[in-house]
Amino acid sequence: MDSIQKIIDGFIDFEGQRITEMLTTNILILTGAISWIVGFILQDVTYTLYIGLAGSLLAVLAVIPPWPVYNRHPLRWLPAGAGTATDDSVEGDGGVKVKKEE
Amino acid sequence: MHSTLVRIQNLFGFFTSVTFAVGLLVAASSMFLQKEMGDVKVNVRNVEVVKGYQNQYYTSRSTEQAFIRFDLEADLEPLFHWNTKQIFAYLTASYPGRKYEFNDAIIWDIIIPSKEKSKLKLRNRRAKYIINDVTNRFREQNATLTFGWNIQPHVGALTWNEKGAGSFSFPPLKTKNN
Repeated sequence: MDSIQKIIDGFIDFEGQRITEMLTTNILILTGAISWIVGFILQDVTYTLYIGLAGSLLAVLAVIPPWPVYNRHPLRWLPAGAGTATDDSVEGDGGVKVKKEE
Repeated sequence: MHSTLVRIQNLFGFFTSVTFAVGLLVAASSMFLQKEMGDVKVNVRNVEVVKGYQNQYYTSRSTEQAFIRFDLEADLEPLFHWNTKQIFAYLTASYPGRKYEFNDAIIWDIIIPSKEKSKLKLRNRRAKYIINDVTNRFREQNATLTFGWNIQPHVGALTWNEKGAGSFSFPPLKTKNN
């Protein structure tokens, strides 16, 4: 059950998100440009249609499934602390306390 | 782009934008590819105006009807390019009347689906549609027969144009006696 959920969610890491974003834009723009040019040169609009659809299908296959390459840079979290965090262990403003004005 | 659903949404959204842009370019290209139409020859061979009953449900009156035979020579090949799906061509008879100043009646039409069928050469062809009139009187009027066409593109707007007119006049009513 867990593995099915994992496939449906298809989470990928930040680097993977950057790549898929770039792939989506580039494949689709390139497809559109090529389909128009080929159709124009061969003077047949059906080439435009089918090249456009084929390129878009390629983009779907490349981007939508969570391929392993999109999960090569997992985020490393800090190890979980042993206990509760105290004032001393938290790095912040240097522990400067602001006095309340009376 | 972190999950499958978001990736589907983003991809499809951008796909529609690209498709729209390509469609716009295809439509724009037909403006530059459109060539000038060649000569069109329209000639009316024979016109008859008779009075009779028409096979139409909304009237039982005896009405004036015109039967026309014509010649037509037209080459629509220059209008075909990659964004031309088909062309609808038609002949319109235009004549003035006593009650209404301008009257148009389409007497013949054809759908031209491809470049191979774009050369029209008709001799003594009978009109597909007979003319009748709301005022029920158009005999002895001067008329013109105009060749018009409507280009239907794959992507873009429909365009209408016309060229080549042949003039004629409706004869007096033909009766059984003469």
